[in-house]
Amino acid sequence: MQIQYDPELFEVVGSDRTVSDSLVKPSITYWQDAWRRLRKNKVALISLYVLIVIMLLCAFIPIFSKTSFTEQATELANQPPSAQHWFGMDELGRDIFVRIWLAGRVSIIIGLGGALISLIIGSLYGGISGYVGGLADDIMMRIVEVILGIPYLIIVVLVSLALGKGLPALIIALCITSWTDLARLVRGQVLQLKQSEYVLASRALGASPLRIILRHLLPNSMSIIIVNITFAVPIFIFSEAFLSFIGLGIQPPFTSWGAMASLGQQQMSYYPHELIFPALAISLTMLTFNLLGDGLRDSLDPKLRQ
Amino acid sequence: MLRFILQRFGYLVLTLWVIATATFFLMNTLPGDPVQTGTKLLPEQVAQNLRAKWGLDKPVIVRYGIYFKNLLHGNLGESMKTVGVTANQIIKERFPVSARLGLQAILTGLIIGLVLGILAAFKRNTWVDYLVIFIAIMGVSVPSFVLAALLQRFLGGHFIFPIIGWPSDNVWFSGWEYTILPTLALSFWSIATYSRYMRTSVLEVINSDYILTAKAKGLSNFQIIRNHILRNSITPIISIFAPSLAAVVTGSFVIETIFCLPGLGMYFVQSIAGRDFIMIMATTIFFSFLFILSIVLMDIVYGLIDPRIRTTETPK
Amino acid sequence: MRNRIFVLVLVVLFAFTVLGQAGSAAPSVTIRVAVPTDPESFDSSKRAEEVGNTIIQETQEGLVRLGPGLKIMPAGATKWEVSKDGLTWTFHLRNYTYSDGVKVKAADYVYAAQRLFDPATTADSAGIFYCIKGGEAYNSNKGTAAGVDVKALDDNTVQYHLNQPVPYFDQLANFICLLPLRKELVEKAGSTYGSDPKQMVFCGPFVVDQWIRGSKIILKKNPKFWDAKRVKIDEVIVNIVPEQATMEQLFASKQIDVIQNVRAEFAAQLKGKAKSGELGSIVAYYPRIRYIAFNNKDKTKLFTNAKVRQAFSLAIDRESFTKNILKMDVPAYGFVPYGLSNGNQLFRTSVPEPLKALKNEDPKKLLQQGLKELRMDPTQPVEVTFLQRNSSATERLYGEFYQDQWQKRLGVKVKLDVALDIPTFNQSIHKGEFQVASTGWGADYNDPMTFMELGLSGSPNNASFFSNTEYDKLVQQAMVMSDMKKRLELFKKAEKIFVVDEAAIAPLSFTIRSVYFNGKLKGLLSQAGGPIFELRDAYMATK
Repeated sequence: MQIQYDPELFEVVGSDRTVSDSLVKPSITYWQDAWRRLRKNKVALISLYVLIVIMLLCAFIPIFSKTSFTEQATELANQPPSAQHWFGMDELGRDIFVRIWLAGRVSIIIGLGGALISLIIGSLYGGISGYVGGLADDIMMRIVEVILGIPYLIIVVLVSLALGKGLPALIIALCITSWTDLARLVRGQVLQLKQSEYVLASRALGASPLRIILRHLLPNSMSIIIVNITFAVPIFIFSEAFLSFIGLGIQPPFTSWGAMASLGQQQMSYYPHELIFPALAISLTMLTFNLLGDGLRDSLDPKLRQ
Repeated sequence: MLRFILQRFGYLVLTLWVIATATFFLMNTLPGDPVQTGTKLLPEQVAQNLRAKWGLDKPVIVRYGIYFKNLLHGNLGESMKTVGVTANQIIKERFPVSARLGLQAILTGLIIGLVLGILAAFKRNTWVDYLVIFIAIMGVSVPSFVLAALLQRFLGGHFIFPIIGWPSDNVWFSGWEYTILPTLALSFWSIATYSRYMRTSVLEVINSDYILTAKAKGLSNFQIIRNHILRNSITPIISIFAPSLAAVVTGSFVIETIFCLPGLGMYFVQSIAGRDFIMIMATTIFFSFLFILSIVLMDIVYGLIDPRIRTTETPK
Repeated sequence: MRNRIFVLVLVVLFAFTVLGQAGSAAPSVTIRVAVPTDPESFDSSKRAEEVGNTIIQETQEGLVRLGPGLKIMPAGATKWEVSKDGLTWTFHLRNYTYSDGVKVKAADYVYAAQRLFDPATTADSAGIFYCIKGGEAYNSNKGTAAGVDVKALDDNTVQYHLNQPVPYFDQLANFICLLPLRKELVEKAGSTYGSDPKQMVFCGPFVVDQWIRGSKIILKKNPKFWDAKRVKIDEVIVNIVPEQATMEQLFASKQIDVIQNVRAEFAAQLKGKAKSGELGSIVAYYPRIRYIAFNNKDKTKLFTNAKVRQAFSLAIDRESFTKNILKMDVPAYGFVPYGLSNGNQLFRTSVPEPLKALKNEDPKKLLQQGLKELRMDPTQPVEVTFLQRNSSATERLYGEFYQDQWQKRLGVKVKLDVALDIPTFNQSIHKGEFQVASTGWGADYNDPMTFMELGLSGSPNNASFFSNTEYDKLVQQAMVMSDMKKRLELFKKAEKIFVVDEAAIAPLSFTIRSVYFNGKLKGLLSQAGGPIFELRDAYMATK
């Protein structure tokens, strides 16, 4: 027995994948998902807000403060914190409170910028080296060894001779060796991961090596990358101080946290406040970076993706 | 495996040669005359005699030839600043000091760092975890100068800790009290980094199926850590351990300066400031050799520890 | 700045030079001191830096020594005489021996002089002794060792022949470069001579027992020293302590007996104890100046003008600089420091610091006038570059201070350029690639000439490229002038040209050196020209 249906009862809807998928769950990208998960992490969010507040203070306090960051009241040099000068005075009688925020501008920009550049160069270099392997890997790793083998100070001096003493020279001098650690870390991770099933599958599907590195290997090494990057920030802050002392980068009377801390070290046994405040600023920023980094790690790690 | 090792040592020699050559030529383009390094300029005649003595009156390329000829005979030359002492002698005198301090510091850092890292991972998001983060952040954001100075100031001269100094009779196994504060100061950075890397990489594996299986089998936490977690999470530690090992055994300028230790780190910085070309070259070659050697060893260890890694294999 | 003072002959007070009897049959006495760096060598010919100089002077006895009150006293020589023309100095040696019992002979002094000028020795200080006949020729490969005119008349008489009269040659005779050397030992050790105390012999109050490079030097009393019965210290431990803060902690916890170059803050802590006698102190002028060099041959023309230079010199508040920033030293308004003497008279007590006369001038007005003279538009902003001498934190601080002073008082814009280190700085100065730079100078010997010859045209350390015929004439005259009163006048005029009329440089501060020590330590000597601390007459009071 056959039931006859009236064709008019039916309608051809065609096959629309978006619609069918949307029934299940809205499609979100990796980054959208990461952001969604980050928002759920209270500690990370608070850190983010603190960081933003620090940045805003750095941007505006030096502009709106009544005390100038350059004014030297030498007779007040090294004065400890007081009601008038909350953080005390520095070696030349300048207000440390204002200078801390001024210094933060350079240090945060250098810290973040340097970390970002290292991130890009280091993870790509390490990823390619580890994934391609063979002779290319050998050559790429030997290049890293050469860069680390030549005394850093000699490289820096020559960079400054070649490029002058401006900002480009500073950034190159900062980043010339900084990415190598990350490159070697990522290479180690990639060596471990490249035999994984998902990489094999992707390769079988004809994905290009670059796509495999960017879509599979790097996201799966993300947690190590993040630790490296957050730890690179203070290295950048202190290296910047060293470089600014040898004349690269920002010019006095502008300053940075690293430079303030270095000057403060000279005086730490008698005027500890000159070291404590810049050190606190660096530590607080580091703390927010790390907690934020932790949050990011949790949200960027594809293994924890739901 | 033998082929692999031979190949790596071949590379080692090649890389060393590239580094030495690059350093030699770069060093010679540094501003400043190696014979005019004092606060008073020497009269031209005296300066010329000095240049003649060190062969600085010859073209760089000729000096390069001479230098490498001597180098092949194992002769690193005579220091230009410490009169009458050869670079070989200086390294022989000073390296053991830096090496002992560095090894002690890095082992301390490694052990404490690993323990803290594992603890933090197991007690994730508890006060233990936050305490470890705090220690780590102090470790990287307080400069070692400050830490060393604080240790010296508040502990030096009290208890068994001397303020300065280093055992001079038996370099490796005596005078432990002298080594404690410098070791602590130097290891803080390692504690910080290792604990962070370890925490992260333990978290990576802690939820893997094989750990769950192990737990299900009723293995104790200690057994799980020893048999599964350490082995699977140690790769990043090895990656950063190798180069920092070389860096740390060749000396720390800051720690040596504060605790008055006759190590290589301080000497190297002074060599650059004094344009002591002989010592710059000698120290660079020596450092690079150790550095590359430790990377070679690291690559071998990689393969031994983690069977997933075959360094020499190329995917096709 | 503290490195590399050639032997400074000269002033600084001395305190507590009470020479007394030490307690009888006391147990072995050890004195512990600290120095900031390793010596470069114990070879008395080759190098001249402060620490090496100190150790060598404690362990070797030369012709003369710098006694208490900066008097040149007999030492290895019992007496000496100068010929009438001032060209021949004859020294008569006492009978004394090295630590191995071998007699010190006149021939050893002759060998030392020949070795000093041997171009293969590469002695840093050879230039200071070019006044010895035949020295310069041998040193420049144009003469021979035999041509160096230093003769041993017999075992106990040595004679130096000079090119021109040098009234202060007895001061030069205190330099370590002229110390006797045993030819056979020096030649046996070859290039390593001076690096290993075991290969050396010593004819001074102490011998070097041990040198652990980078850590410490141990001196022991020399029983063969001719005056050994007066030496009361049995052992000296010289620690090498690079950080001043570490040194302070060692001193505070009584692990060293002497501390030098004390900073104002630490001195403040010590003052009470110094008053009660628990600590002794020597605080005195040290003949050294910190100054700003203007490039008188400035490529931008700006600093070729004297008024502009005056303006930049006067715009710096020296009082504030020394009191609040340096926290030691005294303001300088002249070039020749306190403590140097012209003949028997202290130079600075008879010649007031010349720049003080200009103190009330308005620097901004001077700058305007200078710009007009240069035909530059005074309404246009002026930008200058200041060269900092090295990349240390302290120099940076000073640089920022000068920058602020000039910007505030002159309305100019100052860029800071940093020399990586001293060799880099030397090169920039040498090539004249700078506009304004900060530098310093310390005395080589106890005479204003050691400062005034710096400003001569073409002098190697004339950092400001100053060249003035009138100045050159005055200083050349002073060189051969034997009438000390006229000489003083010549120096006075020349100094005024140098720092006021032409303002080739801007003097900033004169050095004060302070040494504090264990109050029981008596008879310690610390004066420029001698060792950092001289212990041959020192003893530990028993009470």
